[in-house]
Amino acid sequence: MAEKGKFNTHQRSAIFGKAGHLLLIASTYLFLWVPIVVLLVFSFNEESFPSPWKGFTLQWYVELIDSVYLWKAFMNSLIVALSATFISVMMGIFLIFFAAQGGRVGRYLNLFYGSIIIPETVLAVSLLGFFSLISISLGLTTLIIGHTVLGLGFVIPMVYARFQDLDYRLTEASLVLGATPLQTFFKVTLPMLRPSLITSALLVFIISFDDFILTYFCAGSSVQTLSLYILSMIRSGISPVVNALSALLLFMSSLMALVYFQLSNRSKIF
Amino acid sequence: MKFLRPPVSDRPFAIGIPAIIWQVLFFYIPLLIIVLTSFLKTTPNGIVGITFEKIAHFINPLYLRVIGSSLVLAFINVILCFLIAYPLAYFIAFKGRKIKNFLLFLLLIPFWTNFLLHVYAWFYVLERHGFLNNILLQIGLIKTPLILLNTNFAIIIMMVYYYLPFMVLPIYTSLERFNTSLIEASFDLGATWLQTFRRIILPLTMRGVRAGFFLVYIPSFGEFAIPSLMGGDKVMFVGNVVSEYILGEGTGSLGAAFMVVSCFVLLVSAVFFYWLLGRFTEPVRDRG
Amino acid sequence: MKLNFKQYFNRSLVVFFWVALIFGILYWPKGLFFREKKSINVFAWGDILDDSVVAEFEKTSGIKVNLNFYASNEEMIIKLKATGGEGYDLIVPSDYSVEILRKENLLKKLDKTKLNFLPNLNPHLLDLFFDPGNLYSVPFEWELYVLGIDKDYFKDKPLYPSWKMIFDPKVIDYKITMSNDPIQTLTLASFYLYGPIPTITDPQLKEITNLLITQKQYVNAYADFRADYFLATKNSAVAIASSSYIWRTMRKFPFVGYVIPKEGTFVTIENFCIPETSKKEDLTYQLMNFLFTRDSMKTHYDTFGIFPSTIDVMDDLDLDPDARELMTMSSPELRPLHFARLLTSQEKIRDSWVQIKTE
Repeated sequence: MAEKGKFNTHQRSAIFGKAGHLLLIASTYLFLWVPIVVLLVFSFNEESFPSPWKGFTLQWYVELIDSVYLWKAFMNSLIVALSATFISVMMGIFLIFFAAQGGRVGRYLNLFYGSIIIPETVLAVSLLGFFSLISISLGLTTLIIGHTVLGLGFVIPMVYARFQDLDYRLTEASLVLGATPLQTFFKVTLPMLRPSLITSALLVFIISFDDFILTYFCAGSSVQTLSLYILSMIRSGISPVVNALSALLLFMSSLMALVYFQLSNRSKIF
Repeated sequence: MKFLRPPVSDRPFAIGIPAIIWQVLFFYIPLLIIVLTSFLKTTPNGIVGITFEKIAHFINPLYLRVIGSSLVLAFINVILCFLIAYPLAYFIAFKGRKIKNFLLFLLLIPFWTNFLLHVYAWFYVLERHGFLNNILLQIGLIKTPLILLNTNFAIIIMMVYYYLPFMVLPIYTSLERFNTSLIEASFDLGATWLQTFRRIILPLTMRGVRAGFFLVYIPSFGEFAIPSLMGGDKVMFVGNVVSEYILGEGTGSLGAAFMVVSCFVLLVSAVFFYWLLGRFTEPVRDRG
Repeated sequence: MKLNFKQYFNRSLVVFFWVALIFGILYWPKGLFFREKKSINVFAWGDILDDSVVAEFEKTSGIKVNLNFYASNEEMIIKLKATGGEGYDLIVPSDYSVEILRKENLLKKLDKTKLNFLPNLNPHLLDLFFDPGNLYSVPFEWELYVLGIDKDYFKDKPLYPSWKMIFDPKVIDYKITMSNDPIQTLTLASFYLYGPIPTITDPQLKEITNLLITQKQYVNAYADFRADYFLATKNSAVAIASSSYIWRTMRKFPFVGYVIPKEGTFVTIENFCIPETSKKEDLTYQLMNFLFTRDSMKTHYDTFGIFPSTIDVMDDLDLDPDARELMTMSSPELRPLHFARLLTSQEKIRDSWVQIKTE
């Protein structure tokens, strides 16, 4: 197999030439990062927007830590995300267990692709209608349910695809050597699936934590999540406290991206 | 999946089934209910009969225009995302080498940040006294600040900004697995880069392109927060109309009806594009 | 693998079990009611109750206050109707909502003997259409629609205290920020064209829609909560906004001012009510008494800019004569008081709204 990237490029590559290509890439990354950097820089600004740069201060970070409602919203988002991740991953594992024991899962799998064909708005509205129909008050529970549905749409396809790629000879060997199907599942199948389980868990967590549309419809307003809190802050103007919050969340996202990265790369070895 | 041995009991089924139950219960049934309510005539006493009134209410030029705007927005978004994403994915996959992981990392971080914060960040950049205007004024390109926020321009920028990673990642995944010896062979046989791209690279990565297309097209259609926050709420798209009706009193089922109509149009267009893209999947064969 | 009947049966049982389990968990919180000895559930607007005041009340009285928020009266009404008021001990409906809830028998009659602030209430806010005699509600705060203006812009340009400023194309040559609420906007437009009429006919609705479509070219953005922001950033010269927003912005940006249209404007009165099903009204009365004290009212005014319903606190606030006249409801523009109401069916309103935005 040819080495990656080493094909002969003495042909004039790309439409604009190599320099043009680089320029395009650089400007794309600039486009992606300038707003974020601006946001971060102004989180240290002494004066609130629209004033220009005045001086360096950490006061907004202090205010951020003090804000009770913000942390409540943060905790809610965290609870929902963790619950949704846990439930969807567990259900994914269970489903794989069923498949590993020979269950016919294949055709049911298509059920889970529905989440991709439908815009999130539609799902949100449907759930809203459904919940009021069965008289469930909107709150953390309904949020967790909705986010789990989102999560399933990612976990199941990702993990099952990985499961199908697994070398069945390993499980067969394990069984031949005398392990029960249960032992095989826990000691052979599951560890092999671990990287994809973790990456899909991370993905679901982030999607749930950052979610807006589903939360907007299904949270009611007795529950404040981070997205809704930020929305209410954006609606009432601009406050550097949100900048400080962004900095914090960015830091969190970076950590997660790092973890995701390490795991994705290692799983390629399989 | 090979059968290891026939299941001795049905315990695995009992364990494995919740995922499917959950999906049916909380995804398909609500959808079905929503579709049904658009067709049911209800009075305070209950369901009275079937009606097409609600659906018909929305089959008029006004609402079709709203649906049209959403389609156009989604389509433009997809095209722009594709034009930016493909070169980017190509670069990272083939030219990245040592910094490949770093580039992906840089791409993922904005992707994993809360979407509203992105909106907020762009306020800073596009405002009258924002970053962009300040720079342009300083270097003398403009005399008075540009009005960039609360315009369609702002909406598009934000849409592309948010959905770009969704397009990049599937294409990147496709390119990553690409068998570069094919490209080499093509060059050796005398094809130009453009020919190679059109006949070899693009068709074989079409699966990734298609995935990216739908990951961007479908959600873009239902988007309402971005037009509202970045566009000053001056234009209504499908999502805006739906939330307006759903959250108002007594108009909930109308909102459902409109959503059904829009989704129908969306699905038709999606099927069309799926077919269209499929036409590019096979490497173009030389005739004669 | 073919399933025989027995297996089908077993599998159905399993499915049924899981569904029952899921629903059991879903409905479980309903049975479990927070019977904390001394606590009350308050259902209110997001920015109407100041945290520090509530916290202080909790400390001095030992009663825990659980705050829940809603974003609109409609939402509150829907929720209350759905649960029959169950679960909430204090709600804060706006004027017309009080009437709706009252007619649905969802409100409890107030025991006036338990409330110690009644003599302080501004009489102009009492005995209004939505609750004659104030049997079910007491006004807490109020605000009105004003035209926020950029004083710098209008230093040498004509400024009319009139709705013309946002509706008359002959007058407008600047950017304005309109309200994003279809009901409010249509009510304002109707008021401008026809005066205070209770309902509108279809031809009238068409006129209103056309007026708003014409207005669109001058509109910078439609915003409910951010109108003050557009003024502060000088994106608009005029913004229609609630007084509380303008008041808050005026404190931070001295070039922001306001103008009250002489034709009259609309007020919103936020009232305290107790749902019929609440059993903790004694605790709720304590909270209400606390919230109506001078200190509390002052704090609320300082934080949110909403006008207090009590008169005694006016001396504590640093007000210029015009503002004081306004806030005690003595200004001539507020005779008579106008309240925004539903002028036609919700369906028609939203239809128009979509039309306005799509033209």
